[in-house]
Amino acid sequence: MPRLKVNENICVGCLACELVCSFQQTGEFNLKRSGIRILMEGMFPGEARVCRQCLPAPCMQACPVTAIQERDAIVELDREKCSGCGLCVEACPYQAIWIDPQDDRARKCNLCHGSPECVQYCPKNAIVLEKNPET
Amino acid sequence: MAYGYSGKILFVDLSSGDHQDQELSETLIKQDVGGRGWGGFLLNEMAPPGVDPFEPPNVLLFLTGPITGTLAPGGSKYVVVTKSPVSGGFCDSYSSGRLALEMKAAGYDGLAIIGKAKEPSILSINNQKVEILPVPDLWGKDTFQTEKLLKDKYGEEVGVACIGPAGENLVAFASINSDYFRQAARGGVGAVMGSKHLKAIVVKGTGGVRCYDGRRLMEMVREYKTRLGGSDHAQRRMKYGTPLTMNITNSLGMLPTRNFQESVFPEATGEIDGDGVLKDVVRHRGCIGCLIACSKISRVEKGEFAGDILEGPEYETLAMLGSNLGVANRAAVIRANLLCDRLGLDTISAGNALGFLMECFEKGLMRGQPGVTRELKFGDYRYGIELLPQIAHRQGIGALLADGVRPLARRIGAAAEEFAMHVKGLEFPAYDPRAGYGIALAYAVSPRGACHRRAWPPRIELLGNLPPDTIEGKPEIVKRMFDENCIFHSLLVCDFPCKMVPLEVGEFEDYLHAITGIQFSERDLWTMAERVETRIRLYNLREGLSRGDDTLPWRVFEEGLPGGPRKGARISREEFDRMLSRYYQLRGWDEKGVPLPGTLQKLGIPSS
Repeated sequence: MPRLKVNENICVGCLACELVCSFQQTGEFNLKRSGIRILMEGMFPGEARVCRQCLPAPCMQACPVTAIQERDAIVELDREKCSGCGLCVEACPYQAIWIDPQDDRARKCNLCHGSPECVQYCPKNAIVLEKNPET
Repeated sequence: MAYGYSGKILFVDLSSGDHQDQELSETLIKQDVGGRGWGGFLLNEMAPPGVDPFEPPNVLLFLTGPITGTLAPGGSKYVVVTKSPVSGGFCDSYSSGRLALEMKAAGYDGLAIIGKAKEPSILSINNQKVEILPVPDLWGKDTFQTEKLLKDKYGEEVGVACIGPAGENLVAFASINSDYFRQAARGGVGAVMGSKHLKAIVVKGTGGVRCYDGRRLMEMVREYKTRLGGSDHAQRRMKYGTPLTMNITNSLGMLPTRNFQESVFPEATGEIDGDGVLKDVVRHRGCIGCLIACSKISRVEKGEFAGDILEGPEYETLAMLGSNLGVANRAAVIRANLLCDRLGLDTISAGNALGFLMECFEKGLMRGQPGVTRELKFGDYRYGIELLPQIAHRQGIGALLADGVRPLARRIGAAAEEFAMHVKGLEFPAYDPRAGYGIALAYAVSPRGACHRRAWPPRIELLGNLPPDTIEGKPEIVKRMFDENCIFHSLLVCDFPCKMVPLEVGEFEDYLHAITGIQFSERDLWTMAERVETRIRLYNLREGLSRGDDTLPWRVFEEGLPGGPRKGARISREEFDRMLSRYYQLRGWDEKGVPLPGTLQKLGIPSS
């Protein structure tokens, strides 16, 4: 499965990826509606959280309404089906899925259906799309 | 409502606890755009004439612009506008930070705060929920502790602006801090916040910024990113950040050294310049949404300050707390920078004030002054560092410095006033104006006092093709640069990414259209800048400032630079006066700097 990999050592914490992702997913610029998050570790940028495209995916197994499914080798969330129960959030071992505060449904990275936009805007090229990750 | 804007300003009265939303008028949007533009209008409207800056009726404004919170270059800035306790006039001070985005996410383009809380408090905004909450435990805490405690309580995804002990103690150069290392620092904005018993503002919201044509905006940013990649200038700044400026100012003979007694500091080379700072850089850092990421994280590995870690130091700090104090020890500058950040002090004015004190000692002028226990000499970074907390807490000799160099010079007497390096009470930043007459004019006419952020003439008179030691053409370029930055600071974008690439004013027609849906023409923007600058002039005149305040310290007129490439340079009073008159004329102001009736009419400003 392809997935995004973030090099946290060179990430500058500009959150451009979050702005880009929220725009792609929702049509507005909104850090709280992004499918990728750069966390702060104390006073400096730290861990990046984004879907690892696990297979089998714990979120997929936890979803009671089968809103999360594999499609074209991407773990895709069908937000129309999502009931906002939050079981996927609890299940994700990487804390890389969130409940959108505006519509109370889950939100995650869907790799922009294969061509992730955040990769294009990262000023340090710290985000790469791994086509064939080893694990 | 236009796209891009949130559409509301929140008015808060800390005395009564009342607050209300007010819709942005179409005039504010179309005539004044945002940021500095709104500041010029709202300060005139809201601050009662002649108000003491520390009295409750003074207003403290936090403003964004239409571009804030989008992916447009440098769009995570906010501006604090108030009546300055330093100059007694208009003050605007800029910072970047999550606060700017969270204000818009909560539904506000700006905050207008008056009054004074009964006890130390924070203003908490969570979408439409606005609360003034007493925080006795936070009072006295430094800015790092304050932000950390607030984030522990409200979560990491909030915007914070807070003051440190300096702001609480009404120090004239107290800053307002965001994201730990970002400051609105100049002109005493932190002291005004302290006078209101307002320790911090914490904002979070769930809204987003919707654009008229977001796809087009994204395309423009992609194109801008490509241009960044192809610009050597931008690439160098991305690598070195602002410290690279020291390589330029030092080689051109304009680097403040030992309180502006000299303008070259050879010891800086490889230590506190771009190359020196790079040695400690462990990581690059960017403001939200900025693709330049000019900020650096430095870590001191060895010596008495080993373990210090800081976002910075920036050029202004390296010069004012470095060369200006005769200090080339990078780790000491980093420690002083960290202390200023924690205490909530402006590093520029702090460095200027310490340099002034050092020269006063050198000239034997400090005898008999209260709190003087030992002499502070140029180069004595240890004692200088010791004094920073004393300034913030108004203790010992620090109490003398806490009101800035102008009041201290007045207290000491005429001999000290000759080298108190300020305009309108605001201490000089890190360019010696004798090295380029455009800088001299820019410092003198800047409404908030000596400032390098409203116009940066070295771009043309030292790096371009206009000779630095003539007055010809200078009023014209200074006016144009003021207007250009007024536009950037109203939109509100950081002018750094604009200048680096470059991104011209005309290109913001497209950005603004994609974001707001309004077709601002480039001409509209330049006219807006003229209107805003004239309105700010009217405010300063109303508050008692005049042509006599648009001047420079004795040293700039009477003492030639002692060495370096600009050896002997000073500016004659007569030439300076000619530049000033010409500048007023270009603005449509009379000889006294009072806007002419025809100018007001042309700009649509009602004459009162």
